[in-house]
Amino acid sequence: MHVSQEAYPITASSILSPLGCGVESHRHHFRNGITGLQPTDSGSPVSTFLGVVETPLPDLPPSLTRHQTRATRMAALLFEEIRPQVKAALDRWGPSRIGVFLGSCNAGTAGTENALQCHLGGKPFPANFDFHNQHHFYGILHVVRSLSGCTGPGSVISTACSSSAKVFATAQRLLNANVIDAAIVGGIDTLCFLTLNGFNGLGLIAKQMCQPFGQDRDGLNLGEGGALMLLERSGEAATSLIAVGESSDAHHMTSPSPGGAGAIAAIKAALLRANLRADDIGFIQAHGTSTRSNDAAEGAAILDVFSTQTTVVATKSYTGHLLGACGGIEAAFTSLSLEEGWLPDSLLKGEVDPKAPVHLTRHFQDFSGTYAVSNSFGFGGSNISLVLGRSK
Amino acid sequence: MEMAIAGVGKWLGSENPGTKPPAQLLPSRVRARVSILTCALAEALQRAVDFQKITTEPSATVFASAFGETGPLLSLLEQALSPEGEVSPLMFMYSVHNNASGCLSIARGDQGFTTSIAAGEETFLSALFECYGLLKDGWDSVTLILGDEAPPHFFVPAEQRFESMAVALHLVNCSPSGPRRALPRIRLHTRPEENCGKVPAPPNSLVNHPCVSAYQTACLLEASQSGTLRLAAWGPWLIDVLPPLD
Repeated sequence: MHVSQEAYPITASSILSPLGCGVESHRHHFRNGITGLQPTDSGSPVSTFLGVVETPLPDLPPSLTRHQTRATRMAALLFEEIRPQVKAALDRWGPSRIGVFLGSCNAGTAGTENALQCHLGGKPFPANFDFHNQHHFYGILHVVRSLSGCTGPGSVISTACSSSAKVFATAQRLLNANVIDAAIVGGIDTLCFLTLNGFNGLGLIAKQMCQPFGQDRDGLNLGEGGALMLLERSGEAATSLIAVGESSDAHHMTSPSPGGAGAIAAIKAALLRANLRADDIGFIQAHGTSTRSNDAAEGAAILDVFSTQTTVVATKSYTGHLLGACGGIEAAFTSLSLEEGWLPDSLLKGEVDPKAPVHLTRHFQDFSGTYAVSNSFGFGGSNISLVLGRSK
Repeated sequence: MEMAIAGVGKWLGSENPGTKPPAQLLPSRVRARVSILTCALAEALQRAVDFQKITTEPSATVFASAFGETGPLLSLLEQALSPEGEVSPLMFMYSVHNNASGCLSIARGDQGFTTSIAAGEETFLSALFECYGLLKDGWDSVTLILGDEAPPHFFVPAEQRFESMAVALHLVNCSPSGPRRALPRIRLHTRPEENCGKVPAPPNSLVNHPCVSAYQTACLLEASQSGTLRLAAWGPWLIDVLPPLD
């Protein structure tokens, strides 16, 4: 077997979710099967479970105050977790050779929501509101770049729920093209009222805790958080980004292509690029939203490409659906599982859907494989699969 | 970093004041439901296709917009904040940043690569890096479609306002031989001493547009002129628009 020559070591990562901040907190919740989802209170317009980040977030330094939003404060917290490794990378590669590529769906929408509420109520905008610097997606990039000192190419990708997985592909291409030598990649998203309302209007919000791939699943739970990872051209690391596969459904804005054709194309493209066979893959970190149609399509895709015994992990039952940040944080979970040799319980209460009978983890378990696939699929038919591997 | 330009198209809001552009690539029922931005991106793409000078293999498509679907998003927020508190599922579906990417890939039956960038005033620069990466990754051509819709006046002070605008560029790898020698080129670099010509100022209505340098690039390409532009307020990156090798 000849593994892709495009593999890049993941030399640092940081994670923020309803499970807390950092690897220790996430390991604790996964080992003990403790979800971060909580029921909404009685005043909520939608009765569901949400994954809220309760970790205190730092204020931005004065030079970045005009970009301060919940999303950029999360970005600042995540960056602090990898600051030492980024500093070492800056010394090694130089600032202009390190890119920053982030994904997000909502960015500053929550702040715009507050401002609009004031406007509609005949009140002035909040004193610190700045549509130009806070509403759009650039804030998280600007903050991470400013805090890090990295001056290489930067981008924010917003392809709905695949956003922060797509940034791995961008970084890998620019590493391959020798435009950069390292990249900070990941994504951040925050909860907002509009998203909750919108998904509820589409009939996709679960009243109970989400049940990815469950027979009785009735929709998704929303969450917030993010992850950052440092990819380098070379270096000591427990895991690497091996390859990426991408496709477009060209089918429907919110429903996946029947039979998971787009997902199959993305997974197969990633395996081909990685120069791996399906049976080389030890587990699949599923997108696993817990909606009827998405899990049916993804389940069909997994069973088309892999054996019925390939282990599938679904972690949105712990964090909720982090939308634009889910691809990044689930890549970080995949990396953590590869590095430490365990897989979490997917927290399914009932039976796996017999129409998509994937081999879902039903308890915390040891794992000794070398490679894993992490799937992310978004509105607009945007599909991506990442292949990550344990370093030899 | 050098790329050749096989097609260029642009659209300005003042061409169709108060209405959406024709956007014939979109089915009429979709055109009726989507934003000015999505129609503008489709219109710019149509114009680039009409302009295209060479045949290429299937293309990857890169969409880019600093603010994205601001119009639908603010309408949805108003709905969500109304006493009824319910939002239109259809409008929600069409409010994601990659709406144009999804709608156009569906309309064209394009199952190939697509992405959607949102990088503030660096949007054009970020999109060009993405295009360069894709061409080096083996794509024969990449279609870049970018633009932004004018934000509502009540949300932005006068000094930040701009007109709706969209640009499409069809990029291919440069080649020292064959028909691609006859194509104009763009070059990304950080060497101000290599300035290859002054560029006319943009219209006043676009001075604050986050993608104004893309519009100026399209103007130079359409007029077969050379020039050097700063790509974003941040960073050292410049773009040269260069004549064909032949």
